[in-house]
Amino acid sequence: MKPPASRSSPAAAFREWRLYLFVLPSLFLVALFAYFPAASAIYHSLFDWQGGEAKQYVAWANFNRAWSDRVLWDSFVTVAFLVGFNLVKMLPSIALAVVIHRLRSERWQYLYRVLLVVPMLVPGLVTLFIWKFYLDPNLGLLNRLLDATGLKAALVGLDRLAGWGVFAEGVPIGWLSQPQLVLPSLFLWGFPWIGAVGVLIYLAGLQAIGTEVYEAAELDGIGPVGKFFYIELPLILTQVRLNLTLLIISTLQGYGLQLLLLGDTGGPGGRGMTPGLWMYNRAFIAGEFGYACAIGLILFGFILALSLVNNRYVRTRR
Amino acid sequence: MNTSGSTPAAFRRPSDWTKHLFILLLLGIELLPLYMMVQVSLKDNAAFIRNPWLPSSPADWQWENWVHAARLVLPYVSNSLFVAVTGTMLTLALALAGAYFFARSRLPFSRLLWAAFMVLMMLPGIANIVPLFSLLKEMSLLNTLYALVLVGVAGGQAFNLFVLRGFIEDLPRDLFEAAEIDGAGHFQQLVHVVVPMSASILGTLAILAFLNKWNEFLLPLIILRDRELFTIGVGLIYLDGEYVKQWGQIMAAYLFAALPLLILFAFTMRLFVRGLSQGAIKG
Amino acid sequence: MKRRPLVWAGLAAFALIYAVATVRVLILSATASPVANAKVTVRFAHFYLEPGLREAYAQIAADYMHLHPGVRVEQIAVPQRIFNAWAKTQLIGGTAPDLVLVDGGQFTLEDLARHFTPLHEWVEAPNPYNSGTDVADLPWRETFIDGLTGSYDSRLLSYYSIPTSLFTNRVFFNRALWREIFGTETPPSDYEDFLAACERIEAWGAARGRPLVPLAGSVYNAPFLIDFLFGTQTQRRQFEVAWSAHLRADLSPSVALLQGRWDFSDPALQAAFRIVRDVGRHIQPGFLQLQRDDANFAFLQGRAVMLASGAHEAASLRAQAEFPLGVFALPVPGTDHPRYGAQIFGPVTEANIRPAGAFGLTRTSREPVQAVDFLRYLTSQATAARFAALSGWLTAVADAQIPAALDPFRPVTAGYANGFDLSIRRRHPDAKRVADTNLHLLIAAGSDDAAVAAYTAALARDYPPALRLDLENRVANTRRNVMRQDGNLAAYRWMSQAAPDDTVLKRRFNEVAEQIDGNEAENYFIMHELARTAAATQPPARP
Repeated sequence: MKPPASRSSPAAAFREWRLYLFVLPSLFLVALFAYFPAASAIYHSLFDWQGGEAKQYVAWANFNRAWSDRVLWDSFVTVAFLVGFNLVKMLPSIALAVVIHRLRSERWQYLYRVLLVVPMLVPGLVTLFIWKFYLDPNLGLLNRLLDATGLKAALVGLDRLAGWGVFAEGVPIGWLSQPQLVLPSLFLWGFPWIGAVGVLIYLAGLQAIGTEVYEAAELDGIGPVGKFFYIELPLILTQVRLNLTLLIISTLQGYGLQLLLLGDTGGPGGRGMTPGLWMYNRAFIAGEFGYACAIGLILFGFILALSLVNNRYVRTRR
Repeated sequence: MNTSGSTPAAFRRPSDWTKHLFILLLLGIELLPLYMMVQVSLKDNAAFIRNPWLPSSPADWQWENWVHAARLVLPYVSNSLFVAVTGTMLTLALALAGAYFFARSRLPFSRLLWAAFMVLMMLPGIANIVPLFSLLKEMSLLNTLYALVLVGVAGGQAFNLFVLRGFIEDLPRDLFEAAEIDGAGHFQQLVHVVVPMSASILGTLAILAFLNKWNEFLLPLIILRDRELFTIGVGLIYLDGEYVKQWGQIMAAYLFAALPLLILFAFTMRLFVRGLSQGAIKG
Repeated sequence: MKRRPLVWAGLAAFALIYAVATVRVLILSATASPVANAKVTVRFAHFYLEPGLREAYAQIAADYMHLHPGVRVEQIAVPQRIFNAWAKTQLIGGTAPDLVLVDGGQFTLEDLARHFTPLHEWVEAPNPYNSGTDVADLPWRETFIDGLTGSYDSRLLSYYSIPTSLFTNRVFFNRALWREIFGTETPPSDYEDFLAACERIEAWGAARGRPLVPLAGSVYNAPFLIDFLFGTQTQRRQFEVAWSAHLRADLSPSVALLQGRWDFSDPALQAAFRIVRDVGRHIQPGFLQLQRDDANFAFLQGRAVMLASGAHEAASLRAQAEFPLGVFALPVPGTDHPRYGAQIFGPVTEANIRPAGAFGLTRTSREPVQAVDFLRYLTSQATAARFAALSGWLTAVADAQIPAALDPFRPVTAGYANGFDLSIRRRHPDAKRVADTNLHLLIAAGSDDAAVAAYTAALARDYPPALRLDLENRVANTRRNVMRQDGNLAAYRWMSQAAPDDTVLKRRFNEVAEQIDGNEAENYFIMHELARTAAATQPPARP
């Protein structure tokens, strides 16, 4: 790290007082709109608060209730699955970046980069609603595809063997109405899982590789897969790790997707309930704002713990 | 560095058609929603039921869907534009100034302040919503777009500070020293040294911030009451709540909601793609 | 470079558009501020997005504005799915409209008490807009079909909303398709005929290779069939466990479950599960995922022959259907039915249907007098008839003229009160959630007994704890409300002491005291029962 421009000392502070003005607006806004509500949430988690002026101090009652709240624990399990899914969903972006990078023609690379960004411009909500439409049991693309390709029959056969009781002959598959299918639907959603931002970031990282490296690899007789693991992956590993961290944190907190796709009870069997959605449910549907604040704090503690673990064991190279 | 664009003939690989196929397949599926929006928006419900997947013939195209959707979506687009652009400009201005502070000095409390900002990156925002709501109520900011701008700016500080600080710290010291010798104060240094150098990363961050604010729907859903103030997210959710779904009109509305960004993109294509790629290396 | 001018032109255009957007926002903010607005504005919010409704409300509002030039009436329509959260946050935030729909059970006692103004003083006076009719001298509340008993809250001791409509449950059917299948247009009048018709429809469709379902379904429509039929089987239980045999529902079924007076293996409950399965199997598969509009879509496309819904659906269906629409009331099993007859008293009455479309006056309203005046206008004889004609909905105003087309939807009063369903009159959201999320077990393919057993097991495990939670919440809320009434009570006592000759005050004090005693007694009873049965129904301690 380069030595700073100003030393840390009261004298320096006095001399450079104007610098503090640089950070003041940012600090002020953040204190007002992020910290104050956060502190208020911590404060209110100790109360039985219904959102208005009336509240009753209940000390740890909310947290005790959270400890024995089965829905909350199950939601953590669900979100663990979602994190796992999202880890898998990172792979196509990496694969696509590598494949585009290995194209010979720069023109084609540029064209694909452009085409890549276009779906990103469609508002997330639109994509969500269109996917909801894909998953419709009667009109949706997925069921029609399964019927047309005969995969539906295969699934029904598999179901009979494995005894799931989910797929049946002549019954349209209810992707969002069968509890067992909620998680698979959340997995399928967004296929083929290309994140334009991610791909472009990886591409940028891959550009640093020179042709000599490839030539050397060629001479050593390393095949395409080997090239990936020895050359390309190490170089984009930092970006991958960063994406990973951000992804995990946002998945743990996320509930907008589940809210719009499954509704505020997490869908059939409550299988799509995430901690964030449960928080939303308690606050805005049941009116238990104090309890919702407690859930929020538990979630925060969880994420904090995970981040500390991440920092300790996963070092980011600059 | 050069990419694999000019490999010597001796090392030319077999043709790339498998790669092209793979890429086209993935991109094709990604672009399917766009295709759906365009072709369904020109049908009425009956035509859509009969033939959901292929476009109808030009003689049957229902342009009224587009007219209806445009009239519906345009105010939403205008509001979203205001919130997103204002929010992005303010976010970056404030974050740049703050990052300058952290990157260029180790004044007392700066470590504490930095930690304060970083902790925020991990705070789940949902628990904040009701206290935030009461706060906005006290400030009479409920049911306004200004509230969305302010909260968005506050929310965007931590990440942008993080990225910009790293960037400014990596700038060569001599540039700053040269400016100081010329008698430039901190503000002039910020404007004349940092801003020109950080154009690309600012571009990237601007794009990310803009997209973030453009797609937001949870807070607007909660605090906006009047239809004239709705942003795109809220407008689309209300549209999805209609009992009688005229799919043609709905898809046309989706199309018009997506159109502004597509148009913007068409003009700034190079900036977009290059900015995202280059700025990302630092990120 | 050739590209340069294009990019600059683009940026300039963008800047221009941004400027326009900003100016628009500034103008909107300026005109929205109450200071700028010279007119008195009354806003009302609802979630009735059915075709014809918004237009009907808009027309009535326009008529009202015509009568009162200095007043602006604004309608806010919010999708039902988000109405709950929307309304609650608006109320807490103080930006709620003057009149808010309180239907649908989304507002708890706490919400009503905190956010809505009691209307008992207003409803005693006659409705000025009824002058010249034969009800000109009747107190406003007497002009409603139920005398506003549905809007009276016995815990809060006042009227909290004014209804404008009435929904009866009916089954719509596709007359053209019915004729094709059965050769006549007569709907089934008997429960077994109804089931047989469903099976016949399925067979007919299968024979022609045409996917046809008897009943269109969704999370919205299913309760009209399922909860209704469930209730027919619990008619006796309801009567047996009720604290007082009136037609209004109370918490007696919930407490009775705690006390062990019924459980899920009870023959009535088993019969109820079975009847739900009987009909549930004929509902469109995957219906738990579907929303109301999906069910309508299936029905309108001729893929479902029948659709169970309320009278409020008629207008929108009629507007969109390309076939003639038929209506009938869902037949219930008779007392002579081999499996279901034992549990049922008889046909179900519609005399206790609570009117809907009820608007409450919010405490934060800036124009309460004007808002109530608008409500008076809306529920006057002439306007109610006009609203019914415009919207195609029944009205809650007694004796208002309704179009002949709405005759099939008139409530049928002869019959018995229906029993409880698993949401226990929609007072138990958590319990209802458990019942709903396990419903798929009951209608799964396979043997009837296995399905019923699976559902029974799931409910036996998950339902009691959820019920306890709901009851505990309710107890806490009631306690808060009783505390809130202490102030009123003290005030009435003080006032009646200060004016010993005022009999009205004295009567009011007695009424309040008696009601509070009753509420408290019930509350303490529930608390006692919760405590006594705690060991039996608590969830197992976490390891």
